[in-house]
Amino acid sequence: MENKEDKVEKIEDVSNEETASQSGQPASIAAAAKPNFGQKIVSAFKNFFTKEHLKEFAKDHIFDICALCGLIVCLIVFTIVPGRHPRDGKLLLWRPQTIKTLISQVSVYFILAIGAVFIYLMGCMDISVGYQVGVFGALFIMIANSSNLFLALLTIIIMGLVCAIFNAFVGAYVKLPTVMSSVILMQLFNGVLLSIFSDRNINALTLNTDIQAVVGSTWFRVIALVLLAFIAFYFLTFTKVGKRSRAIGTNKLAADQAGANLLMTRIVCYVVFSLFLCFGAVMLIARSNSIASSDTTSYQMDIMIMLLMGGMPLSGGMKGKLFNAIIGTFTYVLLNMGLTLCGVPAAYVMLVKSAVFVIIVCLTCRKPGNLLPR
Amino acid sequence: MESENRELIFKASHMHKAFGLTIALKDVDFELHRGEIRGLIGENGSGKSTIMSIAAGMQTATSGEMFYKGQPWAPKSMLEGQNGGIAMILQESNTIPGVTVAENLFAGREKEFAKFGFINILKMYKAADEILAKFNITSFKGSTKINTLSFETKKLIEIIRAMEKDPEILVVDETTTALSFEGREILYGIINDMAQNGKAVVFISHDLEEIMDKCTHVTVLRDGDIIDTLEKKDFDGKKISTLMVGRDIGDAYYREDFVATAGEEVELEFKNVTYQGIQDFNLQIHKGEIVGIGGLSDCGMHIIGQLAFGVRKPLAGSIERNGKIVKSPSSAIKLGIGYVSKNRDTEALMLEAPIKANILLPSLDRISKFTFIRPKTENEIVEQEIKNLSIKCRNSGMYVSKLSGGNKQKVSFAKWTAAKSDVIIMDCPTRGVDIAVKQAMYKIINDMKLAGKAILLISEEMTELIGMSDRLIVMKDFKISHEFMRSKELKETDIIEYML
Amino acid sequence: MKKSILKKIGAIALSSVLAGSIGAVAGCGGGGNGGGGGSGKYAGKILIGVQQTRGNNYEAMCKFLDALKPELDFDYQIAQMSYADESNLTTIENAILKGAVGVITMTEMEMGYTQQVIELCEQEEVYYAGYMSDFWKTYAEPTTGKAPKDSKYCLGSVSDGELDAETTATWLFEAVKESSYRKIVLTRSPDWAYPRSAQSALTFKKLVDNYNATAAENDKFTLWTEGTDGPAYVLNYGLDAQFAPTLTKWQNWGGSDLALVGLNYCAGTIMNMTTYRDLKFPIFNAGWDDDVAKQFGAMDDATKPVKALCQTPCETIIYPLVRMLNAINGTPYADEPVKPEDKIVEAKYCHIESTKDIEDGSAHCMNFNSARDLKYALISPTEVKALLAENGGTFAKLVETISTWDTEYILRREIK
Repeated sequence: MENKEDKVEKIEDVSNEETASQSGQPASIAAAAKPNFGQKIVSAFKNFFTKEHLKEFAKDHIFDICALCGLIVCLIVFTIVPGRHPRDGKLLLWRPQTIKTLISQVSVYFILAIGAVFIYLMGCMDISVGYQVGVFGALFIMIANSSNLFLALLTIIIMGLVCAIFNAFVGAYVKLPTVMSSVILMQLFNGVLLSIFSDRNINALTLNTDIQAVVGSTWFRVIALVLLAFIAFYFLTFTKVGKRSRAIGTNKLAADQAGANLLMTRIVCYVVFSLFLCFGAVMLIARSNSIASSDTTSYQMDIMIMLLMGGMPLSGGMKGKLFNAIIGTFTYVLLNMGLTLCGVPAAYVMLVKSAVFVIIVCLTCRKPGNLLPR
Repeated sequence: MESENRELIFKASHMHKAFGLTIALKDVDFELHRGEIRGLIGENGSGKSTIMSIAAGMQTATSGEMFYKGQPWAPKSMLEGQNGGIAMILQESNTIPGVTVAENLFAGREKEFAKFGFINILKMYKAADEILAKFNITSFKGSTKINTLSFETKKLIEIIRAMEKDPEILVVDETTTALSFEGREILYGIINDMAQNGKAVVFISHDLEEIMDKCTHVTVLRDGDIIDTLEKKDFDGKKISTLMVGRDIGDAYYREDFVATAGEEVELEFKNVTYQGIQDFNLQIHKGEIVGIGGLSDCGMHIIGQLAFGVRKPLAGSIERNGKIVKSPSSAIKLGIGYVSKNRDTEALMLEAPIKANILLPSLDRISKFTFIRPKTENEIVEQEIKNLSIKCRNSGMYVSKLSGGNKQKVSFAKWTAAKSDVIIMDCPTRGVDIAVKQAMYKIINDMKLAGKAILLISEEMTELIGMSDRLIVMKDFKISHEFMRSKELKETDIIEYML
Repeated sequence: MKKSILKKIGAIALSSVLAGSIGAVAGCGGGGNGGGGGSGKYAGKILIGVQQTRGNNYEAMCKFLDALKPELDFDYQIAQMSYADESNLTTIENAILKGAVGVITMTEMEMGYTQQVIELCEQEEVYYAGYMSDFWKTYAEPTTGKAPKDSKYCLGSVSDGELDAETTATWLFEAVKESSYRKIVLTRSPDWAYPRSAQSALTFKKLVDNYNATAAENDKFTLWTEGTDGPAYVLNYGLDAQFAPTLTKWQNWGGSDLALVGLNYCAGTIMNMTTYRDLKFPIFNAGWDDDVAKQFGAMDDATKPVKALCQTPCETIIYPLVRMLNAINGTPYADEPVKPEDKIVEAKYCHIESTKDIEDGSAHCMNFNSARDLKYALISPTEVKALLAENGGTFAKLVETISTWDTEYILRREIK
């Protein structure tokens, strides 16, 4: 059964052949003179900005571009609308204090989101994030208060590894949607969290050592975020893990038959995810040297919203990127802060955020690719 | 063109179909007579399916007129086309899942079995069984749930359903590749009956031998034009291929030699493999050897391919290479085995992924150094494969879903040539691929053999197996029923004898 | 193809609607400048964090503040606080960054979060005070970092009821003693919410034991003991489903002799539970925040469960407000307290024990008047203005004004 694309293909085949045959001779000569690095950059630049390439790029990356535009629109709107500070006259959004607070509010979400990318690329979801981070945080504080910070960190990392392996095994061997393993963990951790806090008749745990001064300082945060982002970028783009996780998200069967060991890839991705959860928990504690029992309960939904806002496809696959996490987290937190800066009453901020989320979901719901020719 | 005074049943004049800038049919004139079995052959994009889908009501022409049984004909939907008497069987699956065979056969006609709104299902089953009996089908009944049947059988049910409406023109679009051997026989029977009863059949296919065998006339299309229509007495394979492709494809199609050759070393060995119906299966594949396996589609040969690659694990016995057991696809790849799956779109390829990602996936372990995979290495490998296999694409970042069937299959091959597999298992590698690409693929397979690779070729196309294998193994009911060595005199009929 | 074009158009349309609405709301919401008229020295916007945005105290407080706005030349904004300190912190941070000049909060946060807020306050020159809270957590000694109470930007708080553990417990006991109920479930809030409540429970128990020592056999009190922490059952903000069996157990144990005594505002949680609505038993509670007249019933009135309640009047907000305005204007009190502990000021509970009290309250007090009529305000805007330091007010006067607001005064003073 012919389809339009086959037809297009056919025409292009001819044109490709023609150019190939035309450049048959000169090609060998051109190959002899290798372009230097500078020339390569310039030609790459030129190639990028040709009309056809831009059009194709836009079509392929439409959601990422929309997400970036969304962030830019937010920045513009929130620069102009709130006006200036009544006392020092600077633009509200760009005062150093605002930026500092913004980074402080973003940091936890950022770390969790880039860790979550590893999972989402495989088409998995994890809805135990909130409770897991809560429990890790509480445990960290309890152990750090009774012995030392290092042991606390080690403990939660080990716990994270156990959860990761559990998730990976269930995802690989049990014929249920992969989110199920996280449902089990969610219930488990919810119970643990409740028991930690209800037994103690307390609302929050406080750390005795002050990590807020170092870990909570702006420069540490920025360095940590940038470093973690680069590490994640490396793993996602240049290693087997990143490529295989995307393959699993695209077509599990094909990935399996092409040698992506489903279990091992899952384990590695979930381990990375858990490590990032641990870092996120520490970053959360560093905000105030304490953790309250209900601080983290909404994280799983927040992360999903952020990744969606950043353009990540829910089914994972090739189109998912780290970029989605970065743009998404900043947009979400910026939206929250910016709306308040605009003077929107606190009650309406939630409403507007929900409206934005609904709009984004409606616009970005993708239909599964047409597998059969029509 | 002589018409032997057969009555004109369908006529299209100046039919033109354009999709934006793409022209699928260029001002085409087409005539079909009663009693004809007209083959339509052409490469992908030639327009052969387009012209009949317009006739059947699936699409509308951009311009042009049609006449059916002497009257102007312009169906707006397939239903209208069917009600008028033109039935078309498509390449994709068109049965209703989750219900029984009978409900599928009588889909849309439930009222015939209904009384006061209640459907007498037993009556429906009985009617279905009667129909199936007419076609000598015994392997399933009207009450069988359709989900339990194979793809091939479902296709057969579609054909039967179409026939129930007693069409005047039956259009069969690339369907035979989806049918089992018995299914094909049934279809050929239907086609011959229709021709004898003064109806017409349009048979669209890639398969030149099949068309030359079964059709009374053949029309060749190329690039939206009708090149020529030949009568049976003028059938000549080479001539038709040349008309199709527009150039002389030469004599070489399958292998040119007729001697079975094989190296000494055993590259892959099946040792007493037992799995479901298969028991104590033993087979050795040597270096530089093409071992072909043929048989009916459920004889177990596809399972052998899956076992060889570790997709399924044997209950007893093992598949070994160099003394190491194949446990899973990733262990198979480590041992240097590759596998081109029969289910191209669902198992062999990631459609929503770039060509580059697909080709490199099995090679990741090999090219990764201390976790780093150099983009330069990636690009070099991919460019090499695209060049070697002549994969027609804009660039390696293009998504596989946008490629034509033949190019997709090439990407599937490229995975294993890039992975430098020494043993390649191919399951129906040229299914649904047009003639020029087929030729290219046979050349590739031959090159692989000459390079010393061991190849296990599982196929349902007899001629392919005869043409390519050094050793041809015929399977029947999960057992090896006979082994043929490569020879010029080997005929299809010899093989069929051991298949049934 | 058409569908995707439609989608893109829809996206652009929605985005512009969104942007437009943000702009519109921002325009209405005020950019931080402007506000009331008056003396022209506009103080700024104060963020008031509340536990709930409904109930008689909330409504009365808002009406009262609206009346004060033009007189004292400030503006305010309400924010709903939650039990998740992290989100409370974010809300307060964002408001301060917007340009709020002060934060008055009903809910305390954990030390770490409070330290964060105070640090931000110091950088932004914003003041922080409490309302209906004893600021126990805020005024604790931190294990690390600076103590919020030592900051000059932390102005202290006015409490919700007497600061000692005894007064309320004693009053509740007396109220129950007057009634015929002898099977008591004593409930209290967890320590982190109401640190006095454990002590209050012990006081109550002591009074019960003293009474039982001399009472007749069928007049003795019995306290529910299963699942209690000491004499009282600690109510957490638990789930309806978790409580249903417990409520039934209480009902089965106490029958018509059962009464619930809430040492803190927690019985309201129970009243909202579905199971309770089927069971219904009398409640004696400290603190109330719903339509009191609808809930309160005389001892023999079985349809209305609340038999005794007490509230601090909404006007006590003048404590943090006046102190904050002084600080913003740069005019502290001459007798400004030096020790941080002295900045925590007590407000008395107003007790309601009979239908007469309800009637009196309705005609004397904004909290208990269903229309929250301003003419029943305990203090007029002019009088509040007179309490400002720049107009000759003193800290002692401010504290004294608040301390005069006891049950007698609130319910039966002469309305001019």
